[in-house]
Amino acid sequence: MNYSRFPDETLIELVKHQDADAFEELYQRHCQVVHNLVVRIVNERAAADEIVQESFWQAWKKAKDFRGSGAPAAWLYRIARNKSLDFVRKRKRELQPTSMATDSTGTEQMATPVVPTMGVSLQPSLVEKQVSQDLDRQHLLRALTSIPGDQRICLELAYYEGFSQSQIAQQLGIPLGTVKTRVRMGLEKLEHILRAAGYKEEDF
Amino acid sequence: MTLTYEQVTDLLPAYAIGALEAEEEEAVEEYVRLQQQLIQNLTRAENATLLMAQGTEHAPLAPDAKERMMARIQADVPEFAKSVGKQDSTDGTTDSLNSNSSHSNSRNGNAINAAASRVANGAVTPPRPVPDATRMRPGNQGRVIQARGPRGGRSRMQQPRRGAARPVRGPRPPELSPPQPKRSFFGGLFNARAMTNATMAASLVTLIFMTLLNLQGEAQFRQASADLLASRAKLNQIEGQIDNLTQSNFALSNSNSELVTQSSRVAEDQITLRAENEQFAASQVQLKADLAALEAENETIAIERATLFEDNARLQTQLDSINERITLVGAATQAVVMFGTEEAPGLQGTFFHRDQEGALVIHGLDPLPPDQAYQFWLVAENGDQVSAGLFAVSAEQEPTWANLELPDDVPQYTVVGISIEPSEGSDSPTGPMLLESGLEVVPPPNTLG
Repeated sequence: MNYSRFPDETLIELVKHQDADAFEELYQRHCQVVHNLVVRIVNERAAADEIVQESFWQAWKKAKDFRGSGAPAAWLYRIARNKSLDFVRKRKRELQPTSMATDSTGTEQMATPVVPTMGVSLQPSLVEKQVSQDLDRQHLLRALTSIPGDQRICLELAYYEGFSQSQIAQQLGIPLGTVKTRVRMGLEKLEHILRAAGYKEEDF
Repeated sequence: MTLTYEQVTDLLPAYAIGALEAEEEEAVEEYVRLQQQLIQNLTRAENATLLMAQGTEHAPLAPDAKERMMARIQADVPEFAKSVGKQDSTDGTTDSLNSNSSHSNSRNGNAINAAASRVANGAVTPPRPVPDATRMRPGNQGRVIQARGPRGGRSRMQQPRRGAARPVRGPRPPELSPPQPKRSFFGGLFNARAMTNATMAASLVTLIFMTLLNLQGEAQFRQASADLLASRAKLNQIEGQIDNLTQSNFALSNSNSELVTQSSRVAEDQITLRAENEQFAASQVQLKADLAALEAENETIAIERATLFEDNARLQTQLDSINERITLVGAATQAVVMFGTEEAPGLQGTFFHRDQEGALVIHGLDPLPPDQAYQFWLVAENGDQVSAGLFAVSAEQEPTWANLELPDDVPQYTVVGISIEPSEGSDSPTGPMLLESGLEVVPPPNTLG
């Protein structure tokens, strides 16, 4: 059976019934992005491999917890992100047991860093082409860089570093209200980009 | 009216059963709608967050990552969910019992031997029971043979291939911790140290047989899963169509109600028009009656007018006559007053004439029967009596007026008189004179000749 023509939602349904081939297709589609994301957060290649595996393993075991609202990809990314942030926090604790929770950048590097840390503009990864979502890559590239820098930094600190809004405010030395505004506006820009790329509500 | 969550919760049963005031009902529906709106907004924002993951820089994957992943997955797949077609797609470098890549007989032997050695080493606890023998797979042979319960066995087998350090493992899935204490039939077989080849062969044959059975079941399951998904999609589609039809039905019933309303309005108008029509008919009857009455009146008036014309003509004639008489009287050259004789002492009158035209005015004359008439006489000096005309008396006219034409050759007369004669007149008076008068002989003036 050719699974590549099934959308993510169908595949996740099959995975709920422990269909390994459906899972393999999902893995094939999303492992690159998940890997990129994990590497971006933890900054360690070897650790990233393990975390990616564990994330997909959790997806396999906990597929029944996916309740069908939103994209399965988003659910996968969330699992991976949570595991990555857990790893980072644990690593920080192990290395600096007396350090405060609101320590500097939180990007301790045990192994060779693969990507630079803050301030890097959002760059689109080589996302595998998905069945029902044809991204116009060039447009997306340009669109992502169009988010204003101060909003982008707030999004990145929140998403890749796992900081809370008050932590971000403290780090950047700006008021909490400003952080909230920038996060909200940055996310609205992301929504706007998605809609401009041709996504409709029911595609999710 | 803004409600809190608690308030809405309290109102829900009443809302469901339709026992709320309109204001409360609207407030509950608004709250629910806002919730749905919120969920939509949340979904949109979460999906926008996708870009945060997709917008990261490309990092090269480890080449065997997928292989390792699928190996782990396949090991965890229960009984039937592994596909037949996928078996050749994975790399054949696996040498562990977890691999699903090979289904050769030699591998079976290897698996059994490996399992036997592992069992001999006591490194594994008895395997998990196979719930349904018909759901076994070729790859399952290895799993059934090996100790499948504790994950520690598999991970230990996987470990040599992992290579790099693994500083972090995720939380273990809960079913991995406790080892499975139960023994299966096959576990019992392979657990015995003294195993004969015949027994092994028999069990192999059984395994193969059941595998063949399972192949069919698995394919059917696959098909059933896909059919289920297709049916679900179809059901959604049908539900969508039902929604559309319901909406159309609702719209149609609305139109229907409107049409019914319009129809009743038209019927009302019709009744009104009919009433007006009856009124018009009644008016028309009334008008016709009025017209007939007017026409009758008209006729009456015409008759009266004709009568008036006649009266007018008669009066005009009388007037003319009177004017004539006045003229004559005004222009008379002679006027003789006549008095009643002994026969009729109450009578009195006057005789006017101008040349041959004469007139009489007599008071007190009575009308005569039809066979009699009054006659006017001129008496000459020599005693000749000449008739100067007949006249009648009508009861309505008093005094009596009469116009006379005097003869041309009348001699000079000295007496005039009136007597009653037969209606056709007489040559000379046969009755007594009723009025008589003597008069002077006055020669006509020269100027009047």
